[in-house]
Amino acid sequence: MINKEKALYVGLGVFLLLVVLCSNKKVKYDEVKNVAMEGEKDFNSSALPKELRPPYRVQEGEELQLANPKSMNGLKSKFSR
Amino acid sequence: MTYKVPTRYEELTLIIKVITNSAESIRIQVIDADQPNTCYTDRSKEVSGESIFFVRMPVSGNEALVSVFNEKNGNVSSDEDDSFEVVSINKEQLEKKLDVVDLGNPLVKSFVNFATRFCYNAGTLNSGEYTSDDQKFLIKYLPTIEDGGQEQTTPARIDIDSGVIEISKRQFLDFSVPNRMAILLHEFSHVYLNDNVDDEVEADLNGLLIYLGLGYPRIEAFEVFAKTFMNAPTEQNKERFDHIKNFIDNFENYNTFLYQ
Repeated sequence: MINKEKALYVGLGVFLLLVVLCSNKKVKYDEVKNVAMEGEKDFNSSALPKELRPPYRVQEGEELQLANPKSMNGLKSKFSR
Repeated sequence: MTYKVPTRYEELTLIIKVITNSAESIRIQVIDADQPNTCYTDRSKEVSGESIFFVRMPVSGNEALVSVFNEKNGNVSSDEDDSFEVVSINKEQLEKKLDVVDLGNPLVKSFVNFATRFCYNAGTLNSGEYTSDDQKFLIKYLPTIEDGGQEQTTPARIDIDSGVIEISKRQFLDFSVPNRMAILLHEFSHVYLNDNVDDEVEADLNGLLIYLGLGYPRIEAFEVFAKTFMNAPTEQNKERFDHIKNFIDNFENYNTFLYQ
């Protein structure tokens, strides 16, 4: 009968081997013959992940309370001459 | 020849291996498959034998179209051009140096987030005013930048007192995403990082430190500054370009802070 502990190590070893093999797997990408069609697709920015969505567009007549940049300058230049 | 590569909005480096029988000028273009006017790189190199192109992409869409072609033959399918072969296209992890970026600072973090979103979408945004989520930064996306009715050669500029950035949409449409990012980080540096707000070299280097730290490609930074300086070939701009080249070369060798 196989020792439970040995079986666990063997299982773990096989799992790690599979991870390594899969991470090195080369994928062949297909050549696209009709590229013009690709550029004609409608683009919908709402499908983008949050960190890539367009920034907020200020509406006509909307007042923004922008901070004075001099009050924000807490950073140190690394290249002052 | 063009290949469709799933990029799934990830940060990555594309590694494109090409082989030629003789010396050929091979061009690589990587564009977003979905979003118009969104290019990640457009570069060419003289290849004789085997060569590898590294395309660093800190930002990507869902899918990218990777075009590889011999400049003398144009972008035709692999059946129509046997002067070169695309051996492989692989995706690897993007190498970044975040220790130099200072992303822990909320101001830098906020601007990088705002600038990334603006640069990725600039190809489809309408002219108008755009602000960061925290309303600390404002970009005026203008059809062109003008003074007294005269179009200016600069792609962007910042108001030193208000921090408002003006961008020429006409010029930004032709820029790649990394080109746009290099320009915006330069403008940010003038007001928020520089000791001397008027010092162009100081702004170039402070901006480049963030740009390169985030993993953006060196070649795109060279390219956008060269394009901008070609429109205004002054002695000062020549000196700036020498500093930029020196800085980028040394950045890879971890000698960033040796600049005097």
